Amino acid sequence: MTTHLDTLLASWPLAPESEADADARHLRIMAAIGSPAGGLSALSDEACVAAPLPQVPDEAELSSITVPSAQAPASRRGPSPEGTAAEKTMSNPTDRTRDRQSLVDLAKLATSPSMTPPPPSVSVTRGVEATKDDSGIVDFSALAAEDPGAEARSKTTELAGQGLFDDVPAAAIAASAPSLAKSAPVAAAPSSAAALAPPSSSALPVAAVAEPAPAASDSSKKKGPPMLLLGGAVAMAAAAAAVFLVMRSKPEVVAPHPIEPSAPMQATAAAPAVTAPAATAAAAPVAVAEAPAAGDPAAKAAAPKPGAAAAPLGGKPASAAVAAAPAGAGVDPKLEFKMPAAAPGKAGDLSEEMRRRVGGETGAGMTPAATGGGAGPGNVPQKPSQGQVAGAIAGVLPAARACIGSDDPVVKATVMFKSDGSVQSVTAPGAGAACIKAALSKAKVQPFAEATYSFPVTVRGTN
Amino acid sequence: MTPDRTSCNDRVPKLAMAIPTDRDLAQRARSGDAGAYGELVRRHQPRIFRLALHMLRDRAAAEDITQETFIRAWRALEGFDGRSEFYTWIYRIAVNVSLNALRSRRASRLTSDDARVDAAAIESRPGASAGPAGDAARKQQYEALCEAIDALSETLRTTLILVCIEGKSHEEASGILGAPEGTIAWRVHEARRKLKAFMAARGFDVDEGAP
Repeated sequence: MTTHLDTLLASWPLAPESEADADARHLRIMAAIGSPAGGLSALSDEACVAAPLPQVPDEAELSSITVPSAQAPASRRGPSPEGTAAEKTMSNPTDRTRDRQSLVDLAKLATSPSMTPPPPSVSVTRGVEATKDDSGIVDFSALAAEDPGAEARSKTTELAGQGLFDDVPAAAIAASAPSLAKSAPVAAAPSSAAALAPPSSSALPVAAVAEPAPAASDSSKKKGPPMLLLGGAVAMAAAAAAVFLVMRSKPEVVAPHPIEPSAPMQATAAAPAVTAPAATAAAAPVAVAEAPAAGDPAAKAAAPKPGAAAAPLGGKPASAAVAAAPAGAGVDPKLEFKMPAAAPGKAGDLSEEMRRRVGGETGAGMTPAATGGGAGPGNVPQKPSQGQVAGAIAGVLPAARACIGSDDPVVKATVMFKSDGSVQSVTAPGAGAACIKAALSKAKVQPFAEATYSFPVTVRGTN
Repeated sequence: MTPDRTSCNDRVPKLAMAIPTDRDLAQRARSGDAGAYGELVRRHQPRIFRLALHMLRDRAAAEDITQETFIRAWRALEGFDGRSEFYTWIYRIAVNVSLNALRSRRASRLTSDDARVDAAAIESRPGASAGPAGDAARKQQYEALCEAIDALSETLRTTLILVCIEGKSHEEASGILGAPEGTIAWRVHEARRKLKAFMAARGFDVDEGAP
């Protein structure tokens, strides 16, 4: 026979109490009130009227479960709106923990080689440098070798962008094309983890790389499958560069060092952790290496050595080999361009460069946060989320609970976090306060914008 | 305001106006009127006793808790600002005193005679009894239910007693326990789920839904 649980609980019978018993209890109570306090438990007056069972941190997560109002027990006092109110409260989206904390996390996912496999539509030729951790390497030399006439055609084929804008001089288009050529291959490394070799003076069609998408598509129509592959790779690189630059929240300043061109014009895949600076450098023209001109001492110092790996960027352990086409025979004059001089320390700052492009104020008046340097207030939440704090507290709560015995009264502590996420102070009254403070002080949350954030913690003794 | 059902119709409005509310009585008690406080005790002591009985499972202990609750409320009456209902406030004190007593005697063994089960066995409601066999089955059911409730955590058990046995709404339980209504709802949901699982494991077919 099925019994309804709510009915069973709500109609729990208790032995009927006679009126005499109730009167006797009433008299006892009133007599005890008149007499001096004696026989009372050790509960303090403050603890007596305090909230007996407030919400504990781990309940903050669990209480986000939406309970259908139909499951709310029927009150014997008639209908009340508590079911609706409870449901509304429990489905409050602020209580929920997001799967993705911030765009920074998304950017980390995007730069992770394991998370960004190459698109299945692009078939890649894996080079000897490829390891099982790489998602693939596009061997441009091999691609170029399949079409020996590509270089010659590239010298005679007009850029796809030419003529599209009648009011823009062709020279201007030609001058802007190399910057695209610089940014696309370099920035392609982080997202696709495929190292794109810069154009080789002997094999690779320069024009196809110089004007990524249009030229590639134009060429692919004329030159068949190899160009189609090349166009796809370049388009993928450009898209990845765009996504990565948008996601980038912490630009690093890269010294305007010329980057050594690698001799075999074949770069290996870059490690994800170091691809961000490389992409930054590529995005800011001041940080991108120019093609060393013939006779330039710097160019001579950075002369390509056959078989040598690309030099680190600015002394940093960057493994992204950003190679530029060496000056000399075989380089299209259109690719020679001049980089604007950059103020020291501002190189590689995308925000600065964007402001310069639109004619805004630069430099001294900008705060580090405004220029995107470091973790600005826009990158941190106003205050830590409940779930985050609950997680941090849950990590140290066992140690705090061990400070008091099972028979000791509950200790209501308050943890105050600083904006850097560490604990500034802990207030805990009663027994074992020092031990509880020490335990709770180890909690740490992610940095937040507000100066401090307090969180109440109830510490009960372990059984 | 509760109308007097036993009075004549022409006297109802007059008597209804004469019955002071808890708030009035508490106000008078704060100013030292012991009679007003006595009336509050008379009104609320059965429910406090019932709550204490469910919390401590022992009639004598429930008597002590009831007495201590009203003594402590009298001493703390200065702090009652009237923003909440008096019964919410007195229930909170009763829960605190009960939990404190439970924690202090946790190590000691509970009495073998559970006042809750005894009461269920003694009680005979119209239509509820189905003879000796039915009474025995009913007692077994309440014994299992008591065991299931005792197996709950302190938080779930207290919330379940307030909401499902004492009939408090989520809002009232929220005011008594100091937790958000959503948390109260979750606790009730979780307690009922565990009760149902426990009872099912013992062979009792219980349904969570209300009839």
